[in-house]
Amino acid sequence: MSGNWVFVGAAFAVTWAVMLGYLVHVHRTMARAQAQLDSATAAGRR
Amino acid sequence: MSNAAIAPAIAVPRTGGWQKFGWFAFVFLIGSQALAIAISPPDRDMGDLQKIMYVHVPSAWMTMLAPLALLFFSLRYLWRRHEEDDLLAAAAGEVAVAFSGLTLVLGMLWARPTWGVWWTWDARLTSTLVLFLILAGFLSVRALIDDREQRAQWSAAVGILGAINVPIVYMSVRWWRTIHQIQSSPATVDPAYVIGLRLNAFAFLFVMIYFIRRRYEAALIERAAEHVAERAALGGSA
Repeated sequence: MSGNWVFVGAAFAVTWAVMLGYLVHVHRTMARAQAQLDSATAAGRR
Repeated sequence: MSNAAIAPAIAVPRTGGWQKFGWFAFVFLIGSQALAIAISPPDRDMGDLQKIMYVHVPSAWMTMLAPLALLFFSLRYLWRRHEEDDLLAAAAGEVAVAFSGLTLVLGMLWARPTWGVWWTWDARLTSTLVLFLILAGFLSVRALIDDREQRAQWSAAVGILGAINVPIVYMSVRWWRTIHQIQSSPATVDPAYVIGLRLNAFAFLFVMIYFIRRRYEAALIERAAEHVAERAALGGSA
């Protein structure tokens, strides 16, 4: 593997780390919000 | 506490179609990257380092597009005062931070083997860093202000300030000729690289749209939960 490919590989790895990292962040935020909504709705019914 | 202090009800959207769009965007991204790497020959000067173009340039374009979405929704919020616009601006701002940070890191990874340095105070790099810092400030303002209307107004102002920086970032390579090359176009890029660059630009665009939409949906659900909790606390029906 040439030195150039180390930088190319790092660039693509960083790109996917950011893409997947942000995807996970959004899904976690959504799941947390949905749990809060379900909890608040259940509390409101009691 | 009056009802005016309660978060107004916002409809939670159906998300099925957008989940399919997300799958499409990521499959398209994988296909575009694989194709671009497979079909593009090594560049005469840069060799295989040219392949960083397929992630750095689309990311840089999204770094300029996302703040324009932020500008649009911020202005629309200030005009109509609909909270949905504020939440859309927040989503666009967060995604803009992610892409501008990614662009800076990818630029450093390209600069080190080609320019011999990780960073230099070139006009394009510096203006992109300023844009990133303003966008980070946008998120800070949203995190620090509790009052809903004040947060929306102040963050809209910071968002507009960030978007004003976009034309400066774009023109920086022409106004101050330093080390970063001027903008590429199909006329200046070797035809062997154009199709890969175009496909990856669309892939990044689809991913960016998906991110903004999903982050907006998450914010809508958060707001709906706040609304129900406030109603319940006041003894009203949820």
